[in-house]
Amino acid sequence: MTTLTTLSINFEGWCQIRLPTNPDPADEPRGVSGYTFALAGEPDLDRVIRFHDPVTPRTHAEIPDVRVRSVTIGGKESKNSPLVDGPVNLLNEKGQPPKHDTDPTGPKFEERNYILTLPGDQPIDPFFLQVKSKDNTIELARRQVLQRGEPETPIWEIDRDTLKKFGSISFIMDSGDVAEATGILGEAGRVGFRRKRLGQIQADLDKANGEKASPVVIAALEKRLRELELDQHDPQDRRTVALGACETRNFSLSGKDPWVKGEDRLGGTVDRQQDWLTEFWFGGWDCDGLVCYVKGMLAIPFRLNG
Amino acid sequence: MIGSQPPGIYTRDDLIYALSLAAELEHGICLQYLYAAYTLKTTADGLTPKQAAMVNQWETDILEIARQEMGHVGLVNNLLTAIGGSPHFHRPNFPQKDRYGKTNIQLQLKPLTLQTLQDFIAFETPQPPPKAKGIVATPVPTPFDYANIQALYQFIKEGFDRLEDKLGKKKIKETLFIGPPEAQIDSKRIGLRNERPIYDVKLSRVTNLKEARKAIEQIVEEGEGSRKGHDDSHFKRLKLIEKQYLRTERKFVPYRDVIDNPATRENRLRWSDEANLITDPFTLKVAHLSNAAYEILLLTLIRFYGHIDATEAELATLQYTSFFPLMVMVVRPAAELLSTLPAGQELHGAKRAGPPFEFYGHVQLLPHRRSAWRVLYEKLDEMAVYCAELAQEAKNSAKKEIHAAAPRLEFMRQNTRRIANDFRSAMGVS
Repeated sequence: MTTLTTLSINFEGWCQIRLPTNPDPADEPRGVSGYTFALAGEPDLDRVIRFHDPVTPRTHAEIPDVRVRSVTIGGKESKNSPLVDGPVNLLNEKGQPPKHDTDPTGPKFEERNYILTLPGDQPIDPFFLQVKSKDNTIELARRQVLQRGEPETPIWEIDRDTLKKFGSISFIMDSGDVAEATGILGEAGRVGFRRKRLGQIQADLDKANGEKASPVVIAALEKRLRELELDQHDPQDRRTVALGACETRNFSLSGKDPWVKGEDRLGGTVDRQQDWLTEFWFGGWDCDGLVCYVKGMLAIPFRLNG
Repeated sequence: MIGSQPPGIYTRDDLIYALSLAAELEHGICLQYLYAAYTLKTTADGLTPKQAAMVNQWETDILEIARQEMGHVGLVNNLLTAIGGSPHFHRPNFPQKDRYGKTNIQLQLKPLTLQTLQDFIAFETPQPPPKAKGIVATPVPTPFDYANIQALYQFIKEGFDRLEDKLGKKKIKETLFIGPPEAQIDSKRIGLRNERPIYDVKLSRVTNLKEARKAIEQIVEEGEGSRKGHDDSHFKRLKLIEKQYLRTERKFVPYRDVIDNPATRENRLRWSDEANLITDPFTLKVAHLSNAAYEILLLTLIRFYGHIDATEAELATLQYTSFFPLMVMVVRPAAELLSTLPAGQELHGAKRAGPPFEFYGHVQLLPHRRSAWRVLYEKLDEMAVYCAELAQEAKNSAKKEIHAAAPRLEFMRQNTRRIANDFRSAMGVS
């Protein structure tokens, strides 16, 4: 007789999202009317959420790297779990890490300028969460199914109320969790962050001009500088406000045949039939660096050996 | 008042006439900006990354100006509603070279050549106050002439002042501002945060003379700038683009080689020899899709700005059908696609097309609520069906340039179908 308990995997880190923003159309490739852009020399925007392996990461921005921070089994911390420090990833439709430089099948926020949901209610599609050990011997991965029992239904055919279940369950403008994770605290912190970045980009631009750097590098820095200047005197501007905002999501993963490898090393057996549960937040959106912080957990029904 | 008097605005009727004209002009000018912005090149058209970055910034600025022009249309419609008029969204098809009297305003759809840019600057250039000429007023709207759009607004502002003198400070609110304030659209209704501009557009309700003056001042300042200096005025931003444009010494062409004033019907050519018929069969269909989306957008906006008996939920549906997503996810992508598709080899050689923003009849208020929802749904549904056919045709096409349009048309197919279905469900259309 084995005991059914919960394997909780807590993860966090920075991720990259190269997405156009309202009022640009969702498939705008370069960014025109919103506040995010593909800079000179960068590939087109593809909306893909990348937990690792960023596309043309920007100077001074945090490097995406989402990893397991801790593991508990039945509420008790498993300090020596082989999953600790292992990579956490969101996979594409094919169950692979998102491709470079663009990946139409990668995980994306799907709102489509109010067509599918209102802002904040948008689900991530596909949502295929993968957790691995550092040595790659353990893998746990499962996909979310938006329309239960109909995994093939495309997102644009799923009704608003169903999609909303996979959107944010809370939205906090000035989040303590974000402040703790990013070190950006309150309005002063947000304004200071943008001001510091402005100074850094100005210094980079001066240096690039002095060294007669390539026109492409200079054009990219000029664009960043221009955008950073826009909200310097307006702490309520969405570019600044987003640094403190936090969106939390909570839903079950019900995809058939989850991928489970190396569970013996965890000391038990993963339940493949019951839903898994995930709860996480995205916050601290740095629209200059196109990165934000993600923190959350994956809870898996688990039977301890013996 | 019948008799000899200086030109200008003396009555409610005069104000309604002048504001309707202002709405028509702002609408037409907005579309000219959109045409110039949507037909700009990107790296996909062979620009270097540096050139593309500069042109992308021009597009950003011009689209922001266009959004503010849309905001001006909204403000003018609020003014119309405030004084008992009706929202005005109709305008004549392009081109219009001589319609606006002695003004410098020629409404034409053209790519962003240096000449086009300088024409835009001319619209927004600060102008001296208009000079008066003697006329005889009549019981119908008083005729007046205006040299430019700023002069038109000056006439309107003076009209409000004159009516204040005539009606008296105490009585003007109840006598002139008779429209229901709740029928107007402001930033609070369309935005997420009270009073802040949303996507660079600020809309306010007008319920008294002070608010009417403020609305007119906002329109004029956003265009030409204020005497105190308005760094973000359209005039100053366009002058900056002109400076950069001249600095390139025309070493590259920033716009796609598109036809001017595209049209889809031969009868349009009878009205103007400067309209250009799109003859490529596939492009013509995309132009029809573009025109259909634009027409539905306007019908929805008229119903939104002219709401009488719509419930809050129905108003929200109108809003979430029009601003987003029709404008952004259908009208704009269709327009951008058209600027990559051939206009028609026989008449236009290698030139590309562009969005015609064309009417086939008058667009006007659908006054009866239940039938309005039905009519709008049918149009949305027809558009979605048509879009699906075009997406399939593009996918199957052996022609490279048509096949290249397939992914965007497929995205539009999904989205137009969803818009139609959600509208039907939200409005209770059986």
